[in-house]
Amino acid sequence: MPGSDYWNKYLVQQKVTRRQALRGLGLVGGGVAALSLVGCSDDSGGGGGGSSATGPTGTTGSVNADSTKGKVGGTFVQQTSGFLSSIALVTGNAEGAASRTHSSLVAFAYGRKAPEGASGLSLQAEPDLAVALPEQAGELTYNFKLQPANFHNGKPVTSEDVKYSIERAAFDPKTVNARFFVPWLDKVTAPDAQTVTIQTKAPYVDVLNVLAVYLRVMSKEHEESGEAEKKLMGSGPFVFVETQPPAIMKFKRNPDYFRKPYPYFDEMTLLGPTDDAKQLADFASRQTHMTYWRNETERDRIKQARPDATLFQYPYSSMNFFMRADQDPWKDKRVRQAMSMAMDRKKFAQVTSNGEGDPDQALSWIFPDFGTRKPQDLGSSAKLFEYNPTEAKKLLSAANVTLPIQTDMWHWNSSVVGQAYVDGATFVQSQLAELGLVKFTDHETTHPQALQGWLVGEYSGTCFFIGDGGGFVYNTPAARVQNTFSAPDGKVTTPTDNRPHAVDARLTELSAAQAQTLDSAKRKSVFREMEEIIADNMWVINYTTQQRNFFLDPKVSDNAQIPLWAYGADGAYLKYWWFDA
Amino acid sequence: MAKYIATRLTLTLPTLLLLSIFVFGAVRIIPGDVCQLILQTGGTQGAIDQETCDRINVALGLDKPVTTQYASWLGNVLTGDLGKSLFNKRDVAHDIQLRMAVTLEIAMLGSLFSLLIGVPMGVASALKQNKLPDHALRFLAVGWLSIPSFWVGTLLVTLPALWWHYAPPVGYTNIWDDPIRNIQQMYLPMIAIGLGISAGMARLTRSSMLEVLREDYVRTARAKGLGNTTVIYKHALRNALLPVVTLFGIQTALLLSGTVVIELIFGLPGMGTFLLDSVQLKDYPAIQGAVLFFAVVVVFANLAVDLSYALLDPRVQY
Repeated sequence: MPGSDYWNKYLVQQKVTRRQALRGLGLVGGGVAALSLVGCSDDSGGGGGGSSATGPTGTTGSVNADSTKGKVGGTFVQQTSGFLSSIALVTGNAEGAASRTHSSLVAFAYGRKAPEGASGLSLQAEPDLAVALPEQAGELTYNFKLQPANFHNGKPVTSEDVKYSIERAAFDPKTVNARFFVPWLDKVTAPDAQTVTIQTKAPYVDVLNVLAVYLRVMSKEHEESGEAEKKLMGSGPFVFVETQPPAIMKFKRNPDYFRKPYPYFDEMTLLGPTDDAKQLADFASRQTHMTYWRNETERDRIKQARPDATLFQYPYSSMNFFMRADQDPWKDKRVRQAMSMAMDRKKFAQVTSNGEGDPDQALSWIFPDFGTRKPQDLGSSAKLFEYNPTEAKKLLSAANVTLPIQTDMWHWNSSVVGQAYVDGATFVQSQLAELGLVKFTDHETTHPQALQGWLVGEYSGTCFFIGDGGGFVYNTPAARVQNTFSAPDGKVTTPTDNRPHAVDARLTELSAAQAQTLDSAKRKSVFREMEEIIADNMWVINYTTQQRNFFLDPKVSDNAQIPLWAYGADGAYLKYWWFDA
Repeated sequence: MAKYIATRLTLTLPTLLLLSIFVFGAVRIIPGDVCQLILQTGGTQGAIDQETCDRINVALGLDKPVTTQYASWLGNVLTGDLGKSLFNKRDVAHDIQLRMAVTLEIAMLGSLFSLLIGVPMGVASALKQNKLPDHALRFLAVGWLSIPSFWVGTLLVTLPALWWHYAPPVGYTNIWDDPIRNIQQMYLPMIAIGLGISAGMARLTRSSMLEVLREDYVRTARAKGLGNTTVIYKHALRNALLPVVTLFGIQTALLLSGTVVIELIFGLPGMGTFLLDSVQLKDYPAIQGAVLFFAVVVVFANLAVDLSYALLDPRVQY
């Protein structure tokens, strides 16, 4: 047969030697191995093959505004900021993880698009374990009725558990976080198994916010058994499975969750902090479904790699610059005002945020709920936000300051919040140096160093911060706003949140008042007065707004909305999400 | 041989003791107060009262003199108790047990990679001395030596994602649970960490081979009519490997320290990320436990290297 003669001749004559054959097999084997490595990466999303449909960006597009009609299934993988180091809820800082496993009396309404949910910038509350938002018998009393619910071990949640949880968070000496947000708490009572009454010492505007974030309901039995050190156990939508801190934490769906039909995801995996390149690669390769916040440059890179992903964009308050107002030459407000007028905010935006962003002020205008204004609307202080180096020099001359001012600037290094922030600090230094106004000695610190230094008011000269909108960018803003500008008894004692060491009796009074004014219109007028005092005195110089960008895999339901507050690790809203087919 | 092993093991004890003193003391020089870090990392900003800090310090035993803290810690270590994390209250020993598999796997795969790539490279280079393959391989080796492993790791993560939308599966799967998935997760870290080390191996193997190939016994072996393969792999390479094995032991320390960055880049929950997390949180017991782990591994790896000489060179007797 011609065929066999051909092969016979070829092999017999050793055109293909044994060695060659073995080499060939080796190559083929290597190719097969390579294919198995790259070809089998797991798509951990639920619901079938990848959809490449372009999803809506932000809050536009038609929406299935009914989260009760979701589909169960799939493993949701989320990139987080790094709260996975601890599962100790009260003595550690496991609030982020616990937002998946624990319930609270109330929760935030964001996470679903309107009309069902609230805006991604809103801190509107909704009932969670409570049947309804509290009945308030006066400004100091909050009554809650509990709905029937069980912990993950099957035991019922009672008002005693709620009382225990709040009291432990507020009064236990080993508590690390929550107690700083409940100085307003007087007592908690449990008149019956389904009723909880919270009594405050004075009116406090953020009671519901603090309940939602810091006062999660724990099982007294579980917490006192010692098991709490090994696992999180609550009554929330997801059950804790395991943790490999700080890299990974896993959860599974709670089929007995008291709020039916939620949740929908069968499993949830949270990924801890890792290299930026890895985070981007994971999302580009569809390993993760939700990113952590990204800046403008990263946003554009992700858009290029994943044009199908849904983008949620939010303004964020600006980076800012503090000066020790109790030290020369910063004591004179004209010097501080000059520093603001010597800053070209347009160029600042080009350096730090791709040219995007608008001028911002200390209490930030980005949250309409608080009624704060844009700098150009601040009356006579508006001019202080305009770039006017001539006027700046006049102010410095009137203040009799020797130029250039020699001072320090303290700030984080790039490992803390990224390079754009450090570029901002560098730009401020170079701009003021170019104008001949200030010569800075630069001090870069790690975060642990900052925690004992400039972040808590212990520094000389000036410092540069990533920005906090006067506390508005946190989901418990009242305390933060209060602490940032307060000087009780006319002095500032470190450690302090009052980084500029601002001492102003009226401002201190207003800082406390805003936390206790429950009437929203009156509270807004308090903020207005605060804005004007802060702007006129320029205790903190704000530059241009930044952006927080989050991406979501389009396989996740149309109704899903990543709120701004996702950067703060809260994940309770994930129970409303599902994977579309 | 048994006596030698016992002697070497005994000699490691003072080494480890000195290391423990160094680690215990060095950790306390890191800037930052533990209680401030615990409180601040949870979102509390600024104003933390000293009373709260004092209470936390007492609860954690940090108010006692350093020598008392050290003695207490050392006593516990000798019973296998590395203490509890100051931050999350977990057993440090348990956490190390969970994580060491990841790090040891990366280190072993990196070593294997470096041997499988570096030694043949060195041999090929030596056999083709001053020819084109030699120049090419030496160029590659110098290039790999110059490139830091974290940069290689970043490229291995970024470029496939950009070009092919590919990334290894996230997380870590134990090799006994799912070997395929484990290899998918580990092969890129293996390359990232092994590349630089293989370059060092290649260069040393080359110079060692060149030296050995010029020896009289190699000429004798050829004169006796032995095949080239037998001369190179049975006679020459075995002798050339002695310095390579020494390098291998030294590079264990480099491998382990390299895992810190590689694990962070690839998001692997190993000893590297554990140590990094602990340093950032100023979690003394965790830092001490992790550094001790690395120290013990390096010490025993070098002991294994010393003992392996006897296998390679029959002239070496203990």
